[in-house]
Amino acid sequence: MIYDFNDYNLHVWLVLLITIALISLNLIVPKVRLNKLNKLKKIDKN
Amino acid sequence: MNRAFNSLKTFYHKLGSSPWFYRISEITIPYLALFSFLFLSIGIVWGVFFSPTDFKQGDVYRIIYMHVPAASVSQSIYYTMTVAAVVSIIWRMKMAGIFIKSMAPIGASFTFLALISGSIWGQPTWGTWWIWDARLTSTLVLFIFYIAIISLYSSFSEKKSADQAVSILTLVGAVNLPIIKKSVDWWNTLHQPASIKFTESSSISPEMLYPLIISIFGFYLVVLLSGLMAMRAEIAKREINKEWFKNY
Repeated sequence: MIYDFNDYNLHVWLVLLITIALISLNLIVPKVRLNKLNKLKKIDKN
Repeated sequence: MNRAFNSLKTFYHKLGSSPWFYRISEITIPYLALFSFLFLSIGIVWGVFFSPTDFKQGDVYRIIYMHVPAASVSQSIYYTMTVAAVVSIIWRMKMAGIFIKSMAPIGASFTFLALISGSIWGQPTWGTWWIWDARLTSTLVLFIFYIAIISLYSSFSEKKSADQAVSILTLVGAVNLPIIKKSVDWWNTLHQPASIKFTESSSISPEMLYPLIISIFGFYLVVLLSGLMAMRAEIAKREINKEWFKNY
């Protein structure tokens, strides 16, 4: 287990952090884009 | 046999319909989100926190649970984009263009993750962040192709011409895929050969292998999920003035 932060563990934590950030970005960006377009559609309808 | 072929043909034709795809993907997304979260968290938590420590590398080898899945999906995404490029060039299917446009940024981000995680792993184990080794260089070329595809697409104002140009560029980049795969066999590289093999037994211990397989599966699910979400956004952007979308 790697709960302590020795030199090598820091490398693993860093990669884990980048992984989470990139996956989140891939999910958030299209969601935000679609929400914006749906808002535009609603404004257009009204 | 004939019935199976006919249903496959119907499915293929349905795939070309953006309203159908938009509706079906909306139903699929919540289930995909649930399963990708489950597989990813089980694979990564098991691998990073509970799998045994490597006798040579210590804990730093745990980067494998993010590096290998990222490298695997980064190439698979390009393979699927190549198929879409062929479809786009031959049949001019609109959805194929939408697929390439939506998947390129996802592919680029996972290739970036494969490169950066490999670099962070290389520093303590190889003693260097980067080396112009065949596997690393061909993966960097893959990343450059993803960026070129994104840039080329944004340089066109007309979607149909953009789809065609990007499809041709995608096909050109496909030449690099077998080079990445075979780079560790063709050249003497610092990067090790594949540890997981489908035709023979893997050189990695089962306690380390199982979380890795789960993590790889989780990454594929997350790619599918983000791909569907990106494609929905792209369909909405292109068809915002279409009657079906206004009434959806």
